Amino acid sequence: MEFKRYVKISSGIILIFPIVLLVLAAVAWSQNVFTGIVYLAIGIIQLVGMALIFPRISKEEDLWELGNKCVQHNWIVLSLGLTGCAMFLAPFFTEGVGTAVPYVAFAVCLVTLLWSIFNLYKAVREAKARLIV
Amino acid sequence: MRKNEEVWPWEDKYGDYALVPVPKKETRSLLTMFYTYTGVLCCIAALWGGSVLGLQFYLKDAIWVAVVGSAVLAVIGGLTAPIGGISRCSTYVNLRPAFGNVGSQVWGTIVSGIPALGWFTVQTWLFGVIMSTIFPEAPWATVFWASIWGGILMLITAYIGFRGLAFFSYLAVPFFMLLAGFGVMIGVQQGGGFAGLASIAPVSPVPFGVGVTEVVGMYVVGAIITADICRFAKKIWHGAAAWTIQLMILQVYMLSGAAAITLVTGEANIAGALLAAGAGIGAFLMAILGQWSTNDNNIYSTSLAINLWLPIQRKYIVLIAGAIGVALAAVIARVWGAAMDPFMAFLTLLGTFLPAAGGVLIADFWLYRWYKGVPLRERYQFQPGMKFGKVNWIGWFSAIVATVLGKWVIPESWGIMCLTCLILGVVLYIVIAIACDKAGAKMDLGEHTIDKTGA
Repeated sequence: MEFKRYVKISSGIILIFPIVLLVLAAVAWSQNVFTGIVYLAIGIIQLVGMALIFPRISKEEDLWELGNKCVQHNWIVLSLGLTGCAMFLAPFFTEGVGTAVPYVAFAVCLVTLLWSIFNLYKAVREAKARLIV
Repeated sequence: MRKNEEVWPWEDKYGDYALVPVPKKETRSLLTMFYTYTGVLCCIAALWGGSVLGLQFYLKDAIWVAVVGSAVLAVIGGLTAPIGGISRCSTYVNLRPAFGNVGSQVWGTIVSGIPALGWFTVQTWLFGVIMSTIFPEAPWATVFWASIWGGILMLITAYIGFRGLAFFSYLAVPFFMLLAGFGVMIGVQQGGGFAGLASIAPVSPVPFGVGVTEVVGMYVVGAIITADICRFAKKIWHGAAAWTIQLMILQVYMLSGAAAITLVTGEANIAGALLAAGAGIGAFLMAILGQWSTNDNNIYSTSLAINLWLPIQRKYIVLIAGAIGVALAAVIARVWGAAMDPFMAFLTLLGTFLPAAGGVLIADFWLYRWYKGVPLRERYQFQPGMKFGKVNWIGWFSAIVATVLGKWVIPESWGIMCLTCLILGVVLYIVIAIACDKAGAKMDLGEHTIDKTGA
């Protein structure tokens, strides 16, 4: 099934970004522990939220159900991406960590945000999934 | 498959299943229930509730108060949510058996419809106040103008209906929760670590029970009208589970976070404190998303309650009631400024009757139907052509007497006032209903037959 393949590949790629965020959390931790905590929290939730899609869709053959599951997991990534974008450049979280780390973290969240929006669009359009599942 | 889903014999004339059971195909997941309930919880007013705890308790005690208060609310919501999950109808439709058809219209409107509209007004005004605090110089952020544009924004998702509420909650909830965590971080940073934070003495200490009463009172209305959301739940237990999780984890976390920041800063204005501590645009978005995701639920509940006696599309009720609420908020902002106390006292008075009404609902569904031998899943299975009394006098009597006793007769020091009213409502209703049943006396006055539109 074409859509299932797309979901697997796209979810696999999205998984890379929260891992980057976890690396950034490790970098930021010693300079500003609060920044480290926020990166860690968002990274872990996104990582777990997206990783769980694989066992859930592995035996799913119904396109509509597949689309709905895709929507569920991408909402988690989207909402956390939005949160990251709004918080990472705030003065409290940039203090002591330089400029590069916050901007990379912001970019990572922006990519996951945009990508998950596209995935939602694709699930609704191709699998006729519901946006509210 | 349940009885009322073998064939869905209804016509959703008023939209968003305001008067009829939600069909199986329109039900939603546990995650959606969780997000939507949490969306209601995420508001600045809830953080202010936590701030009050920060003024009254040491951090450790504040956390215990939040845990106990949330547990009480979890029990109440745990009893009302399955009613919605089984009947798939809103709270106001569910009031029909216990109060009669006219009773459900009157009680639904007085105890929830009008107060929810009133709170919509208050929260819209509060939104204006927060905006003007964050942007004191901006002409678009005066209390007057921010109340107007903020109120209009909040109407959009309520106009769409449940899908609109859920959609917005998806966006708002994680954001708000992480920002509440930001409050804890500020507390820890400025308070000199967790040890320092825990040793800060409260400004105005009060007894433990008072704190629990505040936590319960803050959200007891939400606990009683859980069915408005969980009628969309895929499984019966989803509503109760989502409700309990959001309370026991997220409410405790939010209240504790707000208490922490207040202990350190002595500042009850959380958005302002976050901004001052360097939350940047986050404080602004927190105010918008938090108020929006809560206030759209207020006006949504109003529309469901009023729809019982006003036979027009639910979305038009949102627009009409919402316009009134926004106009009132703007007038309050322009004329009264910050003097909202008399208005809030009136709303609180109306809300006083809700716990007893909830107690009657709980007693009728869980105890009286059990006494009559009706299997759990067959309770409140409404069908076109079903007959109800116009007035169930036992429901009316029990709710009024329980409220009068709980509010004005029994001293508040005996327990948590709203919980006392609820328990009295349960006891009075079940005792009188069983006595009438044994004596062969009628509970219902008059008769009303519902048609396929649920009216």
